[in-house]
Order: sequence, then C-alpha cells, then structure tokens
Amino acid sequence: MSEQQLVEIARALSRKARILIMDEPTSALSPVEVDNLFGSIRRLEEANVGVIYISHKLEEVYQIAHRVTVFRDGKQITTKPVRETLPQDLVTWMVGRELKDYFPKTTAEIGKPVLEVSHIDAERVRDLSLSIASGEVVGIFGLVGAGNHHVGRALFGDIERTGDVKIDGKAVKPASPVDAIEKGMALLSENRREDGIVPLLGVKANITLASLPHLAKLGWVMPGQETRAAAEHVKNLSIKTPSLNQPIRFLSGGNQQKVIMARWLMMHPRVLILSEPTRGIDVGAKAEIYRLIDSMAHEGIAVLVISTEMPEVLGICDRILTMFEGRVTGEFRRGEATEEKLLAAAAGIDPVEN
Amino acid sequence: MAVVSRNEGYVARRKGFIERLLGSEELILLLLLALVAIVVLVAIPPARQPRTVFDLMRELSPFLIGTIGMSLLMIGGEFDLSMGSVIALVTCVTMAVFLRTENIWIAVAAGLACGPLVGLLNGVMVTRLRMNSLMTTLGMQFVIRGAVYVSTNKAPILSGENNVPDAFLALYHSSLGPIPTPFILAAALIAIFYVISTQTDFGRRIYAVGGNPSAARVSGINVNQVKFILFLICSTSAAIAGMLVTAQIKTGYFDAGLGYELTVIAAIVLGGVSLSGGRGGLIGAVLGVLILGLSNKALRLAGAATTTQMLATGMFMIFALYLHTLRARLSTSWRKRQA
Repeated sequence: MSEQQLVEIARALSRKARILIMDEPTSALSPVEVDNLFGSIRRLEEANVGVIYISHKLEEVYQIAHRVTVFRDGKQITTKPVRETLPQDLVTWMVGRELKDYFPKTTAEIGKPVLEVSHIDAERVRDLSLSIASGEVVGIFGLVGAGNHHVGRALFGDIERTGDVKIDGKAVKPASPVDAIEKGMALLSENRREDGIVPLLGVKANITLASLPHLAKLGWVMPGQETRAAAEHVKNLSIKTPSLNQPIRFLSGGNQQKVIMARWLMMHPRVLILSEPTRGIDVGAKAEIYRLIDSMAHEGIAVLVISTEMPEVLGICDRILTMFEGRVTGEFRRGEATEEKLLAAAAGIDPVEN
Repeated sequence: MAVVSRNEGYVARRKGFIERLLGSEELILLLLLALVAIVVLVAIPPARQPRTVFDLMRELSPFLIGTIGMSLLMIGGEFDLSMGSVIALVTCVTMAVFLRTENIWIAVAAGLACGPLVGLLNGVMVTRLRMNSLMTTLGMQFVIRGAVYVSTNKAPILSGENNVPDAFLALYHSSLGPIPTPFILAAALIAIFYVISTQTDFGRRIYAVGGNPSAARVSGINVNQVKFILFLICSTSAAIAGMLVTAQIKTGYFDAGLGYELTVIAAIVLGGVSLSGGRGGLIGAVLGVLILGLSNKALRLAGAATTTQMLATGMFMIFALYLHTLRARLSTSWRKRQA
C-alpha cells in the first residue's frame, strides 16, 4: 500500500507541475517514508512549486506548512499563517467547539482472559502469542509492513494460519470466518471499501449483514425486527444518515465506520478486533470512535486495536504490543509506554538502558 | 468528561413523489411498458384483439421462467450463458426417453434432471475450480449443444407414431379460463422467488455476495455456497423453460433455445439489473421481458421480419440503459441535496 502511494507521488512529481495537490499522502507511510516525502516537498518549495497539502494530521501541518486553511462541513472557516495558530485552535475550528478529553479512556473492570492466542504463524506473522481479558483494550502497534494487520486477519480466519486460538476456552478453526464469528470474534478490517461496506446496499442492510441468521425465522427476515434493531444502533452510535435505507456509499467515512461497528456490535461479540479504526476519519468522529471503544470495553468485550498511529494506541490501550517483521518485540502497560520506547521496539531496536 | 458528539442520528420522514419516482427503477419500467402498449394499440390494429395478450403470455412464459434464474444469478455477480443449450438438451432428452420408455412422465423426470445436473457442473467449475463464469458457461454452451448435435446427428427427434399424451401437451397449450397454464406457472414461480429475494435471509445474501463478495465473506456469509445454489437455480429454471418448449413443439430439437440466454440477458439489463451484480430486482427483469416481448410481438403482427425485431430489441436495450443511468444520476444528486 505504501509502495503504491510512493509510486503515485513519484508520478506526480515527474510531471513537473507548478502546483501540486496532495490529499492525505501519508496515511499509509512509515515515519521514515514521511520524512523522505517532506524532504521532496521542501525541494519542491525551493523550485518554486506551490503545494496544497490536505491532511487531518495536525503534526504534519506544523512540520510542513506555511499557511493553513481549516474546513468544516464543507465551509471554509479560516486561513492563518501556521506560526500564528496553536494545535488546540485548529482542533476547535475543525470541530466547532472545544474538544476536551480527546481520548476518553476510563479503566473498565478487567476480568478473565477471553482471547488466548498461542504460537500462531501466518503470512507475515511469526510465532505470535497473546491473551486479552474481558474489558481489556490491547493495542498492537507496528510500522507499515510489520505484519500487524495480518494478525487480525489470521485470528479471524481471513488468511491461513497455524497455531491455537481460543475464545472462552473454545478453539477457533483456522481459515474459517464463519467459525470465528460463531465463537464470538468480530473483525473490522482496515479497508472499509474493499471488505467492509456493501456499497449498493443501504445503512440498515449493512448493519444487519452479519446477523441475518439470527434475525431470520426459518429463513424469513422479519422486517419490523430488522428496522428496530438497526434504528437502535443508529441512535446509540450517533450515525448520521437521512434514512435507514440511504445507500451506504453516500455516508461519510466516519459514519460508514460506525455502521460496520454496529454490524459487529449487533452480534454481541466476545472479542472485537479493530484494524486501523480511525483511518481516513476526521477529528470529531475519531473522538467518538474512541468513546465507543471505551464503552465496549466496559461491556466486557475484549478489544484488540491494531494501529499504526501512535497517539491512538497510547491514548486508548491498557496494554500495547509492538511488532516488527512479524514478531512481537515488546509489551508495555499503560503509563509505562512512551513514544520513544514504542518507536524503538517497532523499529526492531533493542531498548537502551539510560 | 466532555466528548464531542455532533450527530443526532436519523429522523424518519415520508418520501416525496419525486423521490419515489427517482428511487424506483420498477416504476420507470412500468411507465415504459405502458408507453409501448399505447403505441402498439394505436399503431398496430391487428394487435388490438384480446387474443394478443393471452398469446403473448403463453409465448413469454419460457422466457419469464428463465429470467428468474438468470436475474438472481446476475444479482449474485455471475453469468450463465449455457441456458439455451440446456433447453435443447431438455427437448432431446425428454423425447428420446419417451420414445424409449413410452412413458411421458419418466421422460419428463429425465428432462428436468438435466437442469440441476448442468447447474452442478457450472457451480463446481466456478466455485471450486474458481473459473470465470462468463467463459466457463460459454464453453458449456458449446459443449452441450455440440453434444446434442452429435447425438442427434442434427436430426429432430419426432414423436412419430407414439402418441404424446395430451396431459403433457396441456402443460403448454391449455388455459385456466382465459389465462394460459404456462403463464400461471411462470407467475407462481416469479412470486415465490420475488419473496425469496426480498424477504429472506438467502435473498439478502445474494445481494451482499453480488455487491461486495469480500465484505460478505468477512461477515460470515458462505459466498461459494450462495453462488453454487444460484447456478443450480438458474440451470433448473432453464430446464423448466425447456420442458415448456418440449410440450410446445412435441419434438427433440437440436437448435431449440438458440440465442435464448442473450435475449434473457437483454431483458434483464433492460430491467435494471447491473452486470456487475448487487443491484436490481426480479420485478424489473420481468418488466424487461414484458416490454421486449410486447414490442417484438407487435412487430411480428405488423409483418416485420425477425431482423427488425432484433433491431427493436437492441434499441430498447440501449434506450433503457440510458434511462437507468439517468435515473441513477438524478437520484444520487437528489439524495445528496437532501442529506
């Protein structure tokens, strides 16, 4: 994915443009690659090329931009020289009101282990073991290519694996999403469009997609029940849509993500695996998703968050595992993890004792 | 602890007329059908007899039944180009077995069995061996028709001295009151499968598999199983259509059903079913068959050659495709303005 993006960027640069527009160019790039990109942008600057850099990553704005324009709900809010703004100001403009507590993490009651994984091997995953208890939010942090996304897919059965996966003591069959779902696992993949939403179907149909066998008596889908269940989830998750039958492709990324979450929550999973849960989602919706993750932990779900965004894992996880080249390289409790330690472990560097 | 929450959730509201019109492909097709009917009644006097309608019902029944199978399969994202050859196979097998056993009902059983058999083969090749359905079923079409040519030596299997029981011929030729029997059969099957495709778990799965097979799989739907069943349904519907044809022509005819599947696909696409799957419905497909059937019959009554009918079919298809694209675009921009 990041390789594809680098090619696209190279193609744009080879056109000798006068103005270059970049829309979220770093979403799948590792920190090193981002640095390279910024180096190229600065060289473009020197060659008098203008760059319009569209991003929701505030730290990047401060690294690379001279002026910043904030949009919200399709309207232009303000344009200021970057030096005259503070990050809090940007967030306030983006969201429309002050955002306190971006990561609303409360500690849920942590119970018995629900998910037990021992020595699994899969594509890009080597000898991975972990365990997550009920109410616990565990994060897997890795740089792009570390294999962290493949962990989720291996556990769920989307790709082949060897090794043991148990939920509440019951073994989960490898390579069988049907069995994983039955045992109480849910996976939100990082590619909403590819294997998340069914674009042509409506919001209601997308929400109930995985629950069809439960909603149907003798194969019959009870329409009233379906509508009520879907409406309840739309309300609880604050999904913004003009109607339950709105084709899901018209919803914003954040709302689509909530629909997929609703789909899995309807199944009352024991284990919820979220892969890049806030990719491509604006600041306001991100905070809502973090709140949702927190409330799910309170309901006793074992949550696994797989992410390449450091602030995210630092903000919402009780424990963070780091991965490098398919292996787990570190485990940190909330409070003992720092950005440097995480990055070092994710880059495969042994921690230096100071 | 304050957390931002700008979304209030949705508010239910009643749909306006324009929204309903733009949102419904079926309504547009119904209007088109009405338009064609009016034009036909005005321009082609021979068509004004009541006979026309009932004859049309009878003639279209094999197409309507085959359309059921094909449209469900296409919504599920696959194709079956072998349907026409199945019809030929059914006529020949039925007549051959009848001549051998002198029992028409054994012959009927044998003929109908061809449907699921071919469906099984198609299903296995596409789902297990992961072959492309368009190419695979096209190949099957040649294989089956070629086999029919070879085994009949390109000679029709006539009933000759053996009397084909009237009970069997009645399948095609009889009527219940004014309504032709085959049409009643077709209507019943359409009703059943309409309910299945819109109200059941399985029906929803068809749309999910056609709309985004990866998402369907990750949601616990057995995509291969759904597609396999659809292939079975499709070939079986072709076999039922083939049995009606057999009752109609009383012959094992090697060229029966030639071009059948293309006509069916034309009608289905006219009816709003998308070639890429996941979109469209049975009602639209049925209306497509009716529109094409009516216009072609009218042309025949007016003395037009079959070539003119082909011209008309093509023009209708393209025109209807344009209507659908237009409707989709207007509906999208309308919705975006509302949201």
